Amino acid sequence: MKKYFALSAAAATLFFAACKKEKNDTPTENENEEVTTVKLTFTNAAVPAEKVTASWKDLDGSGGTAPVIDKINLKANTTYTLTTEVLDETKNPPDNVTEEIEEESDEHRLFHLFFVNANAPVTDSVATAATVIPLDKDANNLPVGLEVSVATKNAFTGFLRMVVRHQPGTKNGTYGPGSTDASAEFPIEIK
Amino acid sequence: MRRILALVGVLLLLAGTAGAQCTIRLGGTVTDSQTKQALAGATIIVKETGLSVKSADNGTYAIDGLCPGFYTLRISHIGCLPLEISWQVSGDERRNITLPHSVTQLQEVAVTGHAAKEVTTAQVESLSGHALDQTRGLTLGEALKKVNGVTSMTTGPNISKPVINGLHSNRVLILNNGIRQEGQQWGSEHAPEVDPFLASKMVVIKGANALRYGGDAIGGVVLVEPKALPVQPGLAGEINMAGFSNNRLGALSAIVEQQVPAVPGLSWRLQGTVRKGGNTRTPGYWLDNTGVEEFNFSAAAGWKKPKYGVELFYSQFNTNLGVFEGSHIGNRTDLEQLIAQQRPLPEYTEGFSYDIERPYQHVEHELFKVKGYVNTGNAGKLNLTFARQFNYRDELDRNSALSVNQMNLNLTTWTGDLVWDHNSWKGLRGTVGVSYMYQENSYKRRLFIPNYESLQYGAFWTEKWESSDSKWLLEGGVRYDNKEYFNLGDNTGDINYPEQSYSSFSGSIGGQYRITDHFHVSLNAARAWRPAAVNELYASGLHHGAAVIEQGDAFLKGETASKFNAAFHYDLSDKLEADVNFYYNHIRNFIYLQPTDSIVVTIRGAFPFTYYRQSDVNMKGMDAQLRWQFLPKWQLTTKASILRAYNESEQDWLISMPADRFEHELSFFPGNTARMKDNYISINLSNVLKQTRIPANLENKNDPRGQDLMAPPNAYNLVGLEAGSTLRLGKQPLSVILGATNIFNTRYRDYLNFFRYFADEPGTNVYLKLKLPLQFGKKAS
Repeated sequence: MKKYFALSAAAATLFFAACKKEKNDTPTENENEEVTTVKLTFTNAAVPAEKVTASWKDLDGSGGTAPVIDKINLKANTTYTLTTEVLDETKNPPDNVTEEIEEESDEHRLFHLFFVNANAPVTDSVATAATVIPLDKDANNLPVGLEVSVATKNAFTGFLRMVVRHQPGTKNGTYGPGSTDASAEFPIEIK
Repeated sequence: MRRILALVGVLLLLAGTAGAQCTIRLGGTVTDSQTKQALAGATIIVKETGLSVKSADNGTYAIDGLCPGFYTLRISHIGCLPLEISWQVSGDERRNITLPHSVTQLQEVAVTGHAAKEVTTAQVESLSGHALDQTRGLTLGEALKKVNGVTSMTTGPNISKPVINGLHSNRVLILNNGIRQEGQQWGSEHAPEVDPFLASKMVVIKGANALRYGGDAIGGVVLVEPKALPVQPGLAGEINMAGFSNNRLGALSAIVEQQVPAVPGLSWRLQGTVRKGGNTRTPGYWLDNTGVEEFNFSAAAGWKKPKYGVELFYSQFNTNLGVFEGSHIGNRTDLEQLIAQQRPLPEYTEGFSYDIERPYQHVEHELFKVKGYVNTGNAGKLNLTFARQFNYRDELDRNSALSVNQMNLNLTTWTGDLVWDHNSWKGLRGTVGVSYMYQENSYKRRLFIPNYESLQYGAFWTEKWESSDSKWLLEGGVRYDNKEYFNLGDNTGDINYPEQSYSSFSGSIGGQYRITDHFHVSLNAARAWRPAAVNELYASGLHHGAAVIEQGDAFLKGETASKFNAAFHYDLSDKLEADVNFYYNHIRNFIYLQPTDSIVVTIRGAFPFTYYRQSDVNMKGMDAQLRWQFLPKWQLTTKASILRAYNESEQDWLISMPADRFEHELSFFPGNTARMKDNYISINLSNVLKQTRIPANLENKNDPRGQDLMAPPNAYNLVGLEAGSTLRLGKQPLSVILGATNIFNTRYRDYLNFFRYFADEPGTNVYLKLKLPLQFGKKAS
């Protein structure tokens, strides 16, 4: 009798004490948040000193305040070298996510697409604004897109969308496989 | 040592015990199976309690003052063979008993009148015995689909939650062994963290009548009830096994229990379950990363004395659920692309595997409960229950260089109930009680639901009156609840969340008239009320699964439902049984997610903006079922469930409501042989119509998609087969069920499955279920 009592008492104490999960210790930041900033730098291939930069910034993450987006102004019939940087500016110093894309370059592909309308389906992208040729390659000799050449054509007003596609194991150079890791759309004017 | 023991004993008694209602009445009639005449003076003994009653001149009997539990009734009468009936009791129930005539009938006749029926004016249905055995190995949500009027809202093949007459999630309360299950139940992709193998009975109370369990169950209550601990000395157990061919899922569950012979009143039980399944196959392709692994266990111990008793219960639920990668879209453009494609990308449909990779969910749930009771003499019984739950949820999105993509939620809940059941006083039996709940939630990584604390308390009083001839039944009750949210915040302290306080009354009243012993009519009216839930108030951000931005509204009012139902029951002893329930549910300030045309631009692309809003809505419907033994060995069962849900404020249909559903089953019972009992073979047909009542697109009224991204899927018909038997291997019985669902490998999609956008439902699934009851060292009594 006494034995069973002791047993159940021990069991009871155990169950009370064995709190498997404690309260999450309160972190002071929203650790994981996503990329906040995309920075595009266009360098005129003929005149390297001539640079155009534009950034897409959403410091408070999804929802909340709308992102601050610069307009891109390029010259018509000009070839630019475009480098794309992806940053998390909630961290101090800002976290350069570009390096992580470089490390996993065989799983990522950046696309720079032109559209007439905002938030249009991918299939509506137009080739009439500029010709985009990737300049970098991953280990499988497939383009990455962190550095591309953009040869503008005639005057164009619309949108330039930079999309990071995440294609682990399925990257084949096209847009289709995988899913979107980041997508930033800039208004653009070529004249 | 002695002092510590005394202290623990006192603590246990204080904290002690049972929320169970101990004023239950069982009733019915006793008739001779041959002459069909009422048997007066038949003796009915409840073996577990020793209680004995005799049937009256008209054959009626009534047993009063039982607690919920598992009982064995022994019924005897001169000239008849005595009969034993096992009865899992959870509330007032009626059962008509036919006694076999001693000389002329074989001892093997097992059918003893139609199954017990709950005596209540509310719409209550339960699953136990064979009906429950048929669901072994399934998740709780899938198992409950056996109950007419209950459908499930699913996210792929593994995540399923019950929908009662169109309502779910925050509006359906699940009581796991008497304790309100508190997890992150707001999410449509958050399945209840309950091991169905724990249950020996599942009860669904449709609508707002279960005041005892909480005033906020606008949709209904699901009770998952284990067997009561054994009261007869001896060691016993049960092993259940289930295997499914489609995803090669295996489930094994075992129970061992004992009433300790040396210590009268002391008993214990251990129970454990493992489940493991791999990728699911649809007709045509596999769904990669849809495996599941689950490990659950529970331990219970009880000490019962005539005057008082204590029970301890501890359980853990642990699962990893693979999330089909093809459903994990990057942004809205990706999702639209997937829908246009009509089937998943080939890279997500490669083949079978048991591996679970990211994205997946990891969920743990722990429950600890102490209940105690003291008999307050003739007056009744005082019960005290105390419980603590931990719910831990990790949602890991697909791997990405660009973000951690992880959400972690940690919820701790403490509940306490003090309940007094009073015995019959001038025919009135009732319960008075108070309840209390404190919750604390915290998150890590991605913010969707903030940190918060909440405090809820309530008080209720219910009474029931039954006329002495059992013709009339009246019941009613009131409840008051108050709920507060406070200490709300995000981890950075950037967002200001207002505190909330809600309070209101709920109530119900109903009556039943038994026109004859075979026909009765019930009417019931209830008002229930639910405070806005934390996701509806404060959700903010990207809901990954759904690819929408969800915005809560801190100014939402509570929801108030007024539900009326009329139920008709007719039976012709064993031959025929028919039930029809009509309901009308009016919900003021119904909270739902409104899709919009606005787009929110994020770094992941553009997502549609949705927000929580309120409307006045009504839901009317009918649940009907018929069981008809049209030939001696043949039985037809038909069920119909029809629902119309209308948004009165918007003058349009409500989104995401289950389509009309019809189910038919034809069974053949070849009869018993010496080695095989309870044999049957059945074929069933489910017919689910296309949901055509959806809210119209405001831009284009003729758009078949309405406000959704895709038009509701077409109607479908599924055919299934099943056969079962109880084999006798020496003295050892073994129950076997072999069957298959979707035998024609039909391709279909269901409107309440979030996967309808991406992939088809599973194809043919063959299953085998075994149940082995065990008795150690003692012959079965």
